[in-house]
Amino acid sequence: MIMRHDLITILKVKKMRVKKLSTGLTLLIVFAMLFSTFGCISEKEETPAPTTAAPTTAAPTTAAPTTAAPKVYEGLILPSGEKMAPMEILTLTPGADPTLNQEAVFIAEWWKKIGIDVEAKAMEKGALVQKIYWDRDFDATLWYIGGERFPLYLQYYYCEDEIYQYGWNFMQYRNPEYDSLSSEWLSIFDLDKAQERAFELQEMLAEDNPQIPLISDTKLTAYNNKKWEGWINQYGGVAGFDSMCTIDPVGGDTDNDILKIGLLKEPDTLNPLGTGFTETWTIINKIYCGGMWNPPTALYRYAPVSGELIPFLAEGDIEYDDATNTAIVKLKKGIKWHDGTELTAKDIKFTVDLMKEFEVPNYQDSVGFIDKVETIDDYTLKYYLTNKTVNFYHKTMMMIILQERKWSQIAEGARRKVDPTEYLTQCQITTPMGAGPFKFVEWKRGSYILLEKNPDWFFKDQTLPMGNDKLKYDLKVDKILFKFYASSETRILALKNGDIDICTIPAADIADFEADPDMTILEWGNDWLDFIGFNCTKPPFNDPAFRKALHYLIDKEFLVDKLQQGYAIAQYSVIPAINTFWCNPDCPTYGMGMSMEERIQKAIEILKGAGYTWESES
Amino acid sequence: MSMERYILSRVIQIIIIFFIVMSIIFLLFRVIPSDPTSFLLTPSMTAEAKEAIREQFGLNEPIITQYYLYFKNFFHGNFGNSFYGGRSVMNIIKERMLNSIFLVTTAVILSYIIGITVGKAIAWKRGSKTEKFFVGLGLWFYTMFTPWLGILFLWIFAFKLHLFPLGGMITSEVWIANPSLIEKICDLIHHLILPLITYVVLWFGGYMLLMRNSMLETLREDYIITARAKGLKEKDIRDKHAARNALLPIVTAFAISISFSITGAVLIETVFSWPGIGRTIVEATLRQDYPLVQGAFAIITIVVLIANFIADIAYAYLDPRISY
Amino acid sequence: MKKKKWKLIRQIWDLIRGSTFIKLGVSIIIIFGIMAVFSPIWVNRNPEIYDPIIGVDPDVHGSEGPSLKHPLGTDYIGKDLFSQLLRGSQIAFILGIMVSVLSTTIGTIVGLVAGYYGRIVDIILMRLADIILTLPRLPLLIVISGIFGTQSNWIILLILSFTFWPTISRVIRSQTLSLRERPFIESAKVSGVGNRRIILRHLAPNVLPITFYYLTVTVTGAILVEAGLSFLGFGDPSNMSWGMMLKWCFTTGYVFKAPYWMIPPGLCISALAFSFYLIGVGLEEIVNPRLKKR
Repeated sequence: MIMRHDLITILKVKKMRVKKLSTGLTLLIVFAMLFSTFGCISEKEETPAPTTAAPTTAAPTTAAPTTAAPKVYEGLILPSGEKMAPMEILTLTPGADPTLNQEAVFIAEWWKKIGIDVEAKAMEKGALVQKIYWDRDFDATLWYIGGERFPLYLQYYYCEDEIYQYGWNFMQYRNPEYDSLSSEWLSIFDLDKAQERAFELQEMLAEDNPQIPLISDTKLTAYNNKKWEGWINQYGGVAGFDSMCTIDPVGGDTDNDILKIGLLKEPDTLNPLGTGFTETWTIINKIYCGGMWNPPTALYRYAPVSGELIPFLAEGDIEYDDATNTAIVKLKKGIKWHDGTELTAKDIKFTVDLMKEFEVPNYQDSVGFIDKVETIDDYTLKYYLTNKTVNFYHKTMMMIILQERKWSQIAEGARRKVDPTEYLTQCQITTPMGAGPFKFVEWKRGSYILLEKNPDWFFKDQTLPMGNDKLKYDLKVDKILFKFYASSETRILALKNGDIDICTIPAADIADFEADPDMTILEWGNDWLDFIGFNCTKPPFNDPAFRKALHYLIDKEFLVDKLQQGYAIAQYSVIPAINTFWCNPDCPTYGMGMSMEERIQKAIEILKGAGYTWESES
Repeated sequence: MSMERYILSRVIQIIIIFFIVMSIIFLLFRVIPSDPTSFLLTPSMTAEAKEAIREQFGLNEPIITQYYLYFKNFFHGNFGNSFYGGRSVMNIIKERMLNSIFLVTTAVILSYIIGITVGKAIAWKRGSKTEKFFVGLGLWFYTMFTPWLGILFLWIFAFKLHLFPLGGMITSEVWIANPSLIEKICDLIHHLILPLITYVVLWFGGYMLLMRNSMLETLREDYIITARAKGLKEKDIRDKHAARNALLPIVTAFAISISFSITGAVLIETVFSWPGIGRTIVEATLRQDYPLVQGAFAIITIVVLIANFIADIAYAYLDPRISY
Repeated sequence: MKKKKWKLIRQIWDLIRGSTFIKLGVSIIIIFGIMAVFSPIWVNRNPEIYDPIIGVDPDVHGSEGPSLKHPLGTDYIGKDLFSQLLRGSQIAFILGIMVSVLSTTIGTIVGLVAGYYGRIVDIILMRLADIILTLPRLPLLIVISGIFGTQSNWIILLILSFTFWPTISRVIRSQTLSLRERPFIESAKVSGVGNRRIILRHLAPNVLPITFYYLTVTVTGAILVEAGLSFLGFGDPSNMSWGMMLKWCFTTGYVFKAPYWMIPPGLCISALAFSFYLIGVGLEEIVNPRLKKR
């Protein structure tokens, strides 16, 4: 920001007269007095506010005021006899995630009601990760989890192996029984049995409460119904891979139907080995086969709506041999890369070998357990596994496939570098070569990325079942134009103006878009959920009774109704309810439907039973 | 002290300042309490992979080695690679800096012309209602909250009246259709106008006041009084005598204000989705892309240093009264 | 004694009456001052509903427009926007004034010391000022905020003061340089007055008019920069400054839907910044005779 006095400073120094000095001085004093008075008043009157607030514990959800003055609990004393130290709920800044931030603020208010000195503290993402994952220096944190159709995190988030410094189990939850059950779960290939075990695991977590699942939001996507129709509302979103291959232009097909999509962040690279960024994957998914975030479409993929594993580039089912831990996968014939050469088993073997040789960080859970891969012929692969794990189905089979012709040169260059992995993951791919439905055309940095359809796509005009219907992958989109916007407001205005065809909108815009005949809104459940994770090694958070009492105090209905204006679902299991196959619907619903009074009663009851006392009691 | 020696001493000072500033920047980015690799983690990574990522960014080297490498790389024009996608920081900065300079120079020149013209006129009408009105108006816009005004303009001119695009630098639809050079330029200008107007509206007040004050001081000089006494036309005195001399300090301000403006463009670039250096710094900081932040910050600092130097020299050259 | 006081107040009154700018500026400031004082009164009637951070009106669903209960409407959760606006004026005053007092004090002292002692002291202090002036302000603030990881108004306050003082000290220094050559300083030196006394008794009063000018102008800068930081996502989230109000309006998508939410904080930021700058300009006209009417 340029200030005029900056310029003055450097350019000319004023000669000011001394005559009016006294008057100026008095002016200053008057100002200073005026301001300090404001300061004092506000400081003084602010402090009593919390204490006056505490007695009137009218539950935020129930409008009716309570008749009897409720009891005030102050100064929680632990069973060990110490007074509970002040605690913090660490969370993200409102700029990074407004919902998480506000959840922390309100949850802190509720926890205060049983005499805990608690504050919500907002931090930048990096600092927060450092604190909870690296330093393990926290009491409780508000964080999110999910994004996996097959919730592998049910194992790695809670097992003892991941307690090491950078491990995923930052809550340091230790439960040997859970460990053995969950690692066994990974080797159960039978879906029904696996589901049963997953339900069991979720119940254990719900009983122990190392983390409290809160809510997961319902996303809203609005699209211009005068441009494209036939959007598929499925798990993971609307404007996904399947939609883009199947939507039809409104008012007839022409040769130049451009689908325009607005992105809030510019992708960082087109190199699929070096990025975990969702924005990048929305683009890479269309060019390559396979990927990282939903929905990956590689050798196998999840069926559009039902979510079962179906072959895509592969032909038929995986022939898995339990005795030798080997698997045979057959490939479809006639799959072409964008340059016209055929995609064969050699490319897939090459990709696995490349990931193993260079230890590409993002793909270690896909290839870490693979001993070697053999090509029986151009269309048949044989995988040798070191141990039996479902990762083979849900990671290896969805892994990206790279073209040997292009990538062997890059790998050759990388081998000569000091740090081959760095070179490989960071090298700039200017013309990505895939076998997906869209080809890369142009990237104008800071403005747009253009893709055009691949008429020779192997799956063109084929169908997949979707419920009772069939989904025809007829590629009516001739070009996809991804445009970048700096803020979601301008992106929404762009949608209204017709500059883009589809984007997610906040709940604030619903009325506006519903009134617009050109717009249609679709709702879909997010497969991420917000939770509070406790530091399970630090008293009193190591006490399951204490954690359960805190769970009772959280008014999830309030979070849904107020913070999300109803566009969210209260969660009681660590797997989002939208994941209907894996989510256990029978997890205990702590405090559902209770008023704040009842919640406090219940929490106090639990805590008293566990030997907690209060300063205000004695 | 002669002019040459003055310049020489300024050069030496600037070099020293440059090294200190670069060291400060270096230190700033080493005391960060947060882990810059945190954003790169995905659930698929194993323990070794995470450790490898930290190593990859040289975060485990001793600080002296890092310091040495920092300067060595800097003089090779190498700021390292962005944490995101591994693009060379220098390339990103070049590209973004050009966009910023394109917007900012146009805006500064325009607000200068308007500010000086109005400032000249109102200084002449000292004490009149018009003067008060313009000073008030200029100040009002000058102290206005930039993004707020930007959003208002965006809403009125782009969304309601459809006069201008909703931000960005180019219309993607136009550019993918192989346009001619003229079409490209027209499109660029079309996108430039709204941020430009916002800029000028916000900033002309500063230059206007500067010109007015400078003008008022000049009007007290003897030669103006002499000119009056000679019975010259008022307009001639204003434009030929007073304004010309009053311009001196303001012309030298030009270099400085450009450097200030590049950093000041942060807010406008954010509101209008302009892919400039200011927005780059904000985005890179928000996602902790430290090589990029560091590089952008260093470049901006160097631009400011050079501009200050030019301003110093120009001022010394133009104003013989300055004591070295 | 009493008479003297009256005279002083009269003097100030005459001064203010004489300058349209100061009149306008002071009246705007008084309005905001009243708002700041009124804030606790408004909130304490029922903090459950009116607290700017945690108060939620259970009867409200989504953001609602102005009503009798909520003169400016509510935000998306049902928090009262009027109480947020009132709290914002408190923060703006406290932050603005503290930054300006702090940086002007540092700037004046550094300027006086550097100008009076000259030589090596001058070189060190002024190069230090140069270095800080060289670091681009808003990017520096952004980077530092990012580095701290958590944002609080105290950090913002310190960084702002840190970046604002060099401008002031440069001006004060040059002023001191010319004052140092004046006969009355020379005579004080000759008569054996200590350095500290000369600075405090003889130099300081003479540079005070400039200090006043910067005192008001810096408030403008501080208010605008804080709002800008908040807007970019580097503000203090535990407090409801005007910048944060706007930020919330933006992040929840109400910018073009809720003018009752978007317009007041922006207007307040601009108006308060404007009023302080007006006073600055008014003061400048009074103390700088060259800008006076012919």
